[in-house]
Amino acid sequence: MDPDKKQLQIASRIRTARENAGLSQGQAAKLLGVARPTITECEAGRRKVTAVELTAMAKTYGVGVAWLAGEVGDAASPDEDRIELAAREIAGLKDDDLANVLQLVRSIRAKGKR
Amino acid sequence: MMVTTSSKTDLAREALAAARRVRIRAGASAEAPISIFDLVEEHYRDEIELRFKAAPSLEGLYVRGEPSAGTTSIIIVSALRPAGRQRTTCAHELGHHVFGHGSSIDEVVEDGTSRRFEPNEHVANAFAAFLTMPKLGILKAFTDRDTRPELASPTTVYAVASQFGVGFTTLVNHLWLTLGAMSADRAAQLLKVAPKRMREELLGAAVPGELVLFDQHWRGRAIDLAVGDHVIVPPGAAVEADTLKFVSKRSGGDAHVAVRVGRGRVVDGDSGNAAYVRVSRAQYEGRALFRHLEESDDE
Repeated sequence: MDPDKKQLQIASRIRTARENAGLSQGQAAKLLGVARPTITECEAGRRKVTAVELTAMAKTYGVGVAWLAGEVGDAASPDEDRIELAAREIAGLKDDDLANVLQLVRSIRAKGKR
Repeated sequence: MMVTTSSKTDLAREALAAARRVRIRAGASAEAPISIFDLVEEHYRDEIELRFKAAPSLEGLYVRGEPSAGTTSIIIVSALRPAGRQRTTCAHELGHHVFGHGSSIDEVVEDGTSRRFEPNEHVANAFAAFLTMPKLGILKAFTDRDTRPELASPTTVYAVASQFGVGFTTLVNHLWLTLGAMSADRAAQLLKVAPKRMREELLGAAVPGELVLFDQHWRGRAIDLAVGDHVIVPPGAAVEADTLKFVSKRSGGDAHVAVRVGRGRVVDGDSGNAAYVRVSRAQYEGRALFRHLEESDDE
């Protein structure tokens, strides 16, 4: 992937992971021990994120480093296949809701032990 | 599948034993009210990631992880459901985890009934009930209030439901159907009382959100609120929390509303009773770990 596109993908995932964790940029900065503009710049793709920072963000945001780094694609895992299969038997579940939770599951599942 | 009464009884027995094991693991007595979110966060933190997510048609989700493959188990609870329902759902999903069930997804079903009998769902439901509403603790809560379930007023039942963090209807059904501590007639009378109407009467106004009744007999659990929720505390109780704002004096005590995220304390000087107050954002979405995290100063 083009390095610029890769940086933007990482930036987008960092932002998604922070929001999904329930943190504002200020809260995230405090927990990560960095200045708030650092978070803003990383999420805008204007600043490269080091491996150490990526690991710290993954731990704080409760997601897998590989997902944050864009190394895990959007293809469904066997886990998701099973959930989707179960979801098909549920008449009232909305497609959007299922898509949203599966996206969240995908980001979290490989986080390993804290 | 043919379901016999004995198989349901066996499942209930398994659920009760599992709930007891979980309480022992968490260091909780057989009778204490628990915060199920704290229990998962503190005692299953290496196994389960607990999240809240706004998905209107979803009640809860459990995804089984495989430690050997480096994947974690996940519980997602709907951010849009009433607080008592969220706790019951979380306990239900924890049930799937402790019983080693596979991944499952639960939709919103208003009447709380399943279309067909599923042993895994049945045992997870029973587990959730026994874990969040232990018989000894529930009966003691009524005794502490000088009554018993059959004779208790709707307000007292509501106070006990508040103390254990479950819904009024959930508690009435548990007392009647599971514990056998209430007659069908009394349960039917109580189930006609709409919790929403009761909140209006206790607060003197129709307000959105939850109402927690913190009385002098409350023990063993923090008062968990979301911004916009109300709590009634004994008259004159000291509220050491800028997360709460006084609203009005009511016959049952002083009404306060939760106005900001954070933590505080309520102390009732007369009874010596005290509890921590924890406030989250309304319909909080995120990691359970951060639900009471205050905004940073530069927001």
